[in-house]
Order: sequence, then structure tokens, then C-alpha cells
Amino acid sequence: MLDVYNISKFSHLSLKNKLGLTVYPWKNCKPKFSAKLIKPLSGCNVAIVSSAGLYVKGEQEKFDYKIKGGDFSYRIIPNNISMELLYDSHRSQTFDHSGIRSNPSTGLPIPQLEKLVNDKFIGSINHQHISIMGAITAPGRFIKQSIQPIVHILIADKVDILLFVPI
Amino acid sequence: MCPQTVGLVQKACEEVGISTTSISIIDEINQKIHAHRYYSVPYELGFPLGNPKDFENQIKICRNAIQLLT
Repeated sequence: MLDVYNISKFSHLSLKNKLGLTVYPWKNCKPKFSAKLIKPLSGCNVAIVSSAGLYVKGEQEKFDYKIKGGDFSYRIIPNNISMELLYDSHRSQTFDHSGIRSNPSTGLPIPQLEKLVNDKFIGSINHQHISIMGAITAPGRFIKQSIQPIVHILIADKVDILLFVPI
Repeated sequence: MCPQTVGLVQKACEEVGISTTSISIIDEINQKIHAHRYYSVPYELGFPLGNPKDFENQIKICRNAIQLLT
């Protein structure tokens, strides 16, 4: 069980949320084997996976807060997107959304990675990124229906490094 | 739940040969789920890269997270 009551960043949560997190059956996310990066960072193509629930307003649907267990879909965000078009539709009320709303790049750090490319720290940024909505309490459908399509997209794009930004 | 949601994708990507790194706001959850590789930040939920107005610090966090791969 997770010792939620001793995690200071959870101190603001309701008793109900704390109890839910304490007894939640967390999944094992340890990979059976892991990739060794053989290219130098300066030669790597980097993509972002964000769980901030961002979508492109006017072009994509919001993540649906009504789906029981959490919306397990994903959005593909083009790298040349203007940050003003990114909107937050994350359903969780357990965190302050003001940061993401005032600056969506803090959930999908494309401009920040552009600086790292300019500095030659990384080689390139992928032409597209993945947005998911992290508040998925029942991950079965996410595992069965979304993860493999996401992986296939990233393989096809020859992504070397993935930066995950959970919210 | 965000750490678990991204952790599941991270696991799948590592297993097909894509190197990954993550930002961690709550290390206790990442330890619980045995997340593969993460960079710990001291910020509150909702602020994975810290102050939304501090661009230089946001860049530094992304750099440090990626640097873990070397």
C-alpha cells in the first residue's frame, strides 16, 4: 500500500482521495528489458509524451471527463503547434491547473526542447508528440487499445528518446 | 494516476528499444510502480517544470531528465 499520509505533496487531498490512493492496486511498470542508448544525445530525435490532457482547440476533441475509469484515448500534437491552441482537459481536481493553463508548454515542453536543439544538446525534436489524460484509474482499456498504437507511431517516427511529462 | 499512466507507456517503449526518461513529482509513486527512469523535481502537482514563468529553469529540468540517459 502507498503511504499517502506521509507524502507532503498529497496533504491537500480529501480523505476520500487519500484513502483511494492508499488502497489502489498500482500496476508494475518495470520493463522486462530496457533500451541502451547507443547514439550520442546530440544525434537523438526526441519526442514528448504528456499526460496533461492537452488537445488542440478547434481541431481535436477534449478528453472526456465522463468516461468511467478515465478517457483512455490519445491525441497527436504536431511539433509546429502554437502553444495558444493547446488547452487543458485533464479531469482530475487534485492539482492546480493554473500552471498548465497559463503556459501549456510546461506540460508539452516543445519550446524548451527547441532550445536544447539550438544548444546541440539533442539532435532533433520529433515532428509530432503524444498527449494523454493521466487520470486513468481503470487502465485496462488504455493498455489494450492505446499503448500499442502509441508505440507504433513512435517507432515509425524513429524516435530515439521519449521525454514523459506527467502532471 | 499520471505517473502510472505514463509509466505503462514508458515500460512498453523501453521493451521495443526506445530509450525513455520521465519527470517525477511524486517519487513515492514512481518507486511503488517501479518506474524505469525518472528525474525528481520538488514542485507541487500540476507544475512538473516548476514556475510557469521561469523558462530557463524549465529548460534545465528537461535537460537534466534527458541527461539521465548517459
